[in-house]
Amino acid sequence: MSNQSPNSPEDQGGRRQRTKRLGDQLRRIYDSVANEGAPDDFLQLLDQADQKRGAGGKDTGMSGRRNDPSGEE
Amino acid sequence: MTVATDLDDEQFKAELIELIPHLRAFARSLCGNAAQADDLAQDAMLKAWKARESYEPGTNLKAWSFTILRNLFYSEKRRSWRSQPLDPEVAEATLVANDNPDAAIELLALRNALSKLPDDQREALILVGAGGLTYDEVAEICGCAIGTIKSRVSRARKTLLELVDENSTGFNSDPDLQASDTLEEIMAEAHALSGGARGSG
Repeated sequence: MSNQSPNSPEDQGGRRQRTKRLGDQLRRIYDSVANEGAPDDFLQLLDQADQKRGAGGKDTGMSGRRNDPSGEE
Repeated sequence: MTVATDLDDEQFKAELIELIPHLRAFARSLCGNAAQADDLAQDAMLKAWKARESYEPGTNLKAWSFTILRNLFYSEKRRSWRSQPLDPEVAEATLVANDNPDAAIELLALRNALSKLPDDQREALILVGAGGLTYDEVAEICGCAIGTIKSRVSRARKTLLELVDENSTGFNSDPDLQASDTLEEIMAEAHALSGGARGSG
């Protein structure tokens, strides 16, 4: 295809650098989502499921419903 | 008795909430499309919550919940979601989030290349290379040997570098030569977007 020879030391050094760069970019892609935190609709869904636990099957008392470790207001 | 269970549940819930950003990021890497990814991440979160009694406290909750998400992805029709081209919204967000147009284009080329990798290679690379999981944990999540994960990661890296190379040479010299259709569309969009802010590069 191109004029690079896969075995030259230069090429190997370049490849290592590009692999590192690739890793940085992959982390940026992943972090761009991960850094958004937990969206409200996720927290609400989980709270709903949690409240079912309090109201439904197990008797956990009323106090459980007030606890909200999510910090959501 | 119920008090102890209650505390366990609260603890589990708090830890699960911590993991929501990671569930979303992992789901995004599997689905490509942002809305479908969140749908998958929500399902996984709820399923993890329902299955909380089968989780052993003190073990790796991240690997455990990622396994649930991954199983959901593969067990349902979601697998076909991947076959769609790169989500334009994702592409646009990439462009808007980057001040440097060259960096943005490079990231887009990478996203595009990622979407062309086989599922097993992509997930291994993302989990090891970006998700901060060990080879050991990824092997557990994917239900295969560590050696298999290592070889998938290495093949994924190799393929990605090749694809990105092709794409970027395509851009810099003659876009018609090598850029894929998807990427051409994205570039047209990129051009339109950057045209508003400053002159074309």
